[in-house]
Amino acid sequence: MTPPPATDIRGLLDRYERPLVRYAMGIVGDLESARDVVQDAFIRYVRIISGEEGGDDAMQPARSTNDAETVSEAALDPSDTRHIEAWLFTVTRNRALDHVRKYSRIIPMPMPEERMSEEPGPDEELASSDAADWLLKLLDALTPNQREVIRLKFQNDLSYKEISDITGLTVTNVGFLLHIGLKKLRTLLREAPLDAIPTRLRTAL
Amino acid sequence: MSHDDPKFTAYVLNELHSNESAEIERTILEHPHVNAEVAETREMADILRDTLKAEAAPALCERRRDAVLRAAAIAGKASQPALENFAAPAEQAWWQRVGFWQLTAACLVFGFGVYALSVNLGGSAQKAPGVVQTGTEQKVTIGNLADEGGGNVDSAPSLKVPSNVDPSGVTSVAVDLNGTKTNPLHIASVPNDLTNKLQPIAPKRPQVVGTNDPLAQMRAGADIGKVQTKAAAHSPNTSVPGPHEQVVLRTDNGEVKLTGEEANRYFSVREYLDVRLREAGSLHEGASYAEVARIFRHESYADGVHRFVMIRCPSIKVGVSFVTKDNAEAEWPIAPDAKIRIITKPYFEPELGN
Repeated sequence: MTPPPATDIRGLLDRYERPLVRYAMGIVGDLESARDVVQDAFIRYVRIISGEEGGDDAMQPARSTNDAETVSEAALDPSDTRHIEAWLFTVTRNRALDHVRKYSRIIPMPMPEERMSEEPGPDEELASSDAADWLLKLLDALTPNQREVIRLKFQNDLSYKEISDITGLTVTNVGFLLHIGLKKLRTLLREAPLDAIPTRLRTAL
Repeated sequence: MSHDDPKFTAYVLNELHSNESAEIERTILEHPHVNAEVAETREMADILRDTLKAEAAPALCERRRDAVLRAAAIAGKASQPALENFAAPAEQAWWQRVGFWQLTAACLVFGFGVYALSVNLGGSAQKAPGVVQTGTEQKVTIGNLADEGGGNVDSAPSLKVPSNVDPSGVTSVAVDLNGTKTNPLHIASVPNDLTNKLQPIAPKRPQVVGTNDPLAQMRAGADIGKVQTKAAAHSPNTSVPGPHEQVVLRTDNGEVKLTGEEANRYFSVREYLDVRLREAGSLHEGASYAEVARIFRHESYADGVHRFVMIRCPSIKVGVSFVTKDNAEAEWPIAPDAKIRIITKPYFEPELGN
């Protein structure tokens, strides 16, 4: 395979580093580990594309804490942008799951830059009118794989097929998880006191 | 079709074929409550899309981007654009600057030595034992390293001698390296054509071998050849240990544990696992760069082969021996007339201290 010019890699980094770090954070839970994982994924991309490494190795199945499994990384087709994107997500996911397995007993201290401002107490949480906060809290109530497919779909605009490739789930399963996930979110919204629900979210009821 | 069918969600998300969409639309028309469900799903999808896309998406830090670009440049096999992109980042860290100069120096040392000896000493009269034929696959070892009982050259990569060089005429390589702390790199009398051919494709992080205080360890004559890291077992593709990973350096003076973050200040996992270094010389307080820099380099060059160059001081000898597939060794004594003067920047800067 033709090695990638550094300029191409810069383009890929510019385009995908942020979505990938965000995605990895959703799995590993802290920013620096997410960056580790994404850096790894890009370096693997470079090595495979240059022929330095094989690109079709099946990863070890997970003995996982979040019932997700690493999936086989399909042969990389560097001419297809969408394929590269899905491939990067796949490798990021696999590395992130490896990381979770390895550090499942470690609770990392957050780095200064990822510390949020003051976290609201329970009362403040209820009173929060921020629709985004509300929704993210609702997402926490979903199963990990429901949350994952929802993030891949709505945060990254990936198709069922691409999500299937990344997660190793069947396309049908992806559709089912999205369907159930959305339904559960609406149910959770309905169960909340109406006056506490941000206006933006009430439209989904 | 059940009203709770995932196809309704797939319809909202434009994941159905046209015939399936048409079927859903018929159902919606026939059942107003289904229509309401679909509208709610669509609204929830819109909210999710807006919310999740607005969520913070941190970038990789510059150091990590650099690591990726380095890997790309190295994999790019002497792609000149890659080199240019890489050689002049907006703001280079100290090790990047030093790495470039030293890599260039190492490259030129090797190149000049091979060139000078192939030109000046070549010929059947001075052939070394175990002549190596041009273009054959060989293993390269550093004679001095092996002589010191390092036994650490087992990972020596294969070497293909550049087709423009007939190594059968090479009998020795010798380099005098005199360093100061302040002057930029200067190399004289290196043939341009060979320089170009041997130009590395990218600067690499210098192979700083040490512990919390590399200089002190080196002064103490530590054996820093045995480096272990948990990171290597877990993710061999990781070029830089994660901040929570522990790197263990075992030296003659004991074991030193570093966090990944500390270790990253000195070297990357893959790189330093490849490093095998033995040093028999002695250092003294206030030593110049040339006196403290003992760098055993493992570099990839434009033609995709690997070469080792060991830089020593004050009189640095690069001992090269080729080992053929048949294990026939060609060793070359040091020639007194091959000399390159290299003036370098200081290697250890204050920030590298404890």
